[in-house]
Amino acid sequence: MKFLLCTFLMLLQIAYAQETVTVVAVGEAEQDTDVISLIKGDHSKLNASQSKMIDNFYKIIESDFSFYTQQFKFESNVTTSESDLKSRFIILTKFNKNNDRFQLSLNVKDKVKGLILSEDLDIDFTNIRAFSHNVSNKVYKSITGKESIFQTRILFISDKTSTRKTMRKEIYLMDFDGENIERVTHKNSIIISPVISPDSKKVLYSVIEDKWTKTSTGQINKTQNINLHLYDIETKAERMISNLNGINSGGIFNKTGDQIYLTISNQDNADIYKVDLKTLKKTKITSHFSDDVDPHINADESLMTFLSGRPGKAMIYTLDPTGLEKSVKRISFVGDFNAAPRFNPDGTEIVFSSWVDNRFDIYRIGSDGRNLVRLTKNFGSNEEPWYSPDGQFIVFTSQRVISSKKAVQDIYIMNREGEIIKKITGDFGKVYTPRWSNPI
Amino acid sequence: MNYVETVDDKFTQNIFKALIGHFLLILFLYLLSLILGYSFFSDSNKNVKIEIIQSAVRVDLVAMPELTVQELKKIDLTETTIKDPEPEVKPEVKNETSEVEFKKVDKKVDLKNLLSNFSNKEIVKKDKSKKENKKSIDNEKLRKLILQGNIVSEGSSTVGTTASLGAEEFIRYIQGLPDIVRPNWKLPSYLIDQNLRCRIKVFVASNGRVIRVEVFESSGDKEFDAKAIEAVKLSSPFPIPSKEILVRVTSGQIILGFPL
Repeated sequence: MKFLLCTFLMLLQIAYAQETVTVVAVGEAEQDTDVISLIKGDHSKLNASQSKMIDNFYKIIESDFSFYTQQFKFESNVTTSESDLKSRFIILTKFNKNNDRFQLSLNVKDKVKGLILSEDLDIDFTNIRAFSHNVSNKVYKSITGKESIFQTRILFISDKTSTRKTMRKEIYLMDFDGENIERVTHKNSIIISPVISPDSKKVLYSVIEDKWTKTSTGQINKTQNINLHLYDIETKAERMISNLNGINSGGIFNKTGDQIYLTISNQDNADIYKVDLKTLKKTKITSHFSDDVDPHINADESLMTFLSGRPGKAMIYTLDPTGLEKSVKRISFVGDFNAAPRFNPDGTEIVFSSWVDNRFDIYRIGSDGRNLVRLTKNFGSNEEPWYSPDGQFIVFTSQRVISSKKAVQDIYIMNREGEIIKKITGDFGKVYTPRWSNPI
Repeated sequence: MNYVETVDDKFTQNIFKALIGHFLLILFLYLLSLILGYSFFSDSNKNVKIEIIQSAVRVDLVAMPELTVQELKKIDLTETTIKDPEPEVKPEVKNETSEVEFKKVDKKVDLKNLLSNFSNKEIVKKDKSKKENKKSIDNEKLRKLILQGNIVSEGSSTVGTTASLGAEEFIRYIQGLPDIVRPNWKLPSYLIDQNLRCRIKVFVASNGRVIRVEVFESSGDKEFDAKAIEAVKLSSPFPIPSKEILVRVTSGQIILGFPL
């Protein structure tokens, strides 16, 4: 009897004892490509010029989706009927005439979730490009739930207006796909390191300007100074932000656009400052006897990355910009000369260029200093990387030397895995410093 | 004697009381579970102590990486393709030497000549295989690459102390599984950044084939769970488990975490 009871109790205990289970982590999934099929609508009722525009509309949508090759395979010349299609997503387009106005009836179907988008849109024939990008974005958003890059623009500098004697660098804006280039500034001067504000209405840039100073003996000296200006694209009003002696450049906006960070070399060695755009009050962020330049900031302003010469070579650092020299951390430990560190939108990784084998190539590193990878190789000299607002792409300049006197420099876009997607500019002078805007 | 008996009696009495008390408690919980619909018994996951195995990776950086992400992706593919044709090379060598034999027989059979030819042929063959390797991947380059710290070397994974040899063997077995499953672990764009996690229980037969797959811990998203199950199924068969770990492997003690 006793034995029976004891065994019963033991069994009970075994049944309720904690079972140890070992879980093996498989790791992060790779992205699968989904097929999107576009079924074109009949637009024979439209007049010839409108019909041509609709053909163009389809081309633009296809070109838009060709950027996201990692996620999607886009099929536009679908001839099979909708029910036979095996693709995950189907875009259905139809054209209706509604009181002299042509409408696009847009439907997106998901094989798993069913109809995910159904909308009637008035076709804007006056700006078919913007209309097409808008449609692409609606489709992309219905599938991924996120904003695409299709309505973003890229700000850049070109030396196109230079004459034989004088170098000129002006700011231009274009759509993310390189179309619709617009000239922004007419300074007839050399503009460097521009950025576009988060609302895409203002531009912050530095200009090399003459500065006249009176010496104690009454002589007037002309020197050159790099001054930081804020420019309103719409009103064309320019405002001086910082013109202290020396360099005032490398300005960048915070997420709300009311504060900027920049490099100032007033006390002969360059340090990074924060400037309130309303009051122009300056706060010092770095303080070191070696130069600290090229700041960039993450979305919630909790982390700043910058370039510093403190280890003897130009290396990438991060710090907490809420204080002076607060939690400074060195991120890069290799490379002869690293330049232009830029965060991705969520601040988890930094892209930068580094001098290797007599040219620059682009590398990516985690904000914690881990996972350093190379992105470009055998592709000319690549500089000035900048993330797209969705963090999927990197825009950069690439230089090809043609002869001892001639070199071309154009803007390219690659995805964050280093797969070159497209050449964006061509035959537009030598272009510099591409900066991606938020969707407009 | 009497004293001993009374102690024994008291013991059995107390045991009976305890037994009845436990029985009533279990009955009460059972009835409660029936009324509330909340299971105290079958939901084993809540009582399970979970240990996670992740392979620790240590990278020493000596210089800027030489190869790009795209190139590294290609290397992974060529590496696996090199391994496959290796056994096929040997029979090829034999065939060629036999051909040589026939040719030589047609001419004059000279043993010395034949032997020297043999060795020559073999050397040539070796060179050829080297060249073949070079085509897909330059071994020298790979070695350099490792020296430069571009390739990630797997550090010693932190594993808790193991009680028996079988347990060690089991852990070694399951540690190899992520590398087999990962190539099939793919998610569509809209599920990739959702921070979802599910755990899949896998039952493996003695021949390594996956016989049953169960959701051990759901992510809450049916499609995500389905993709994880699909990844496991596509990865079947797993390596053949040794006899010592067969019981653990077939009884569903393998749990894979997607991603953790």
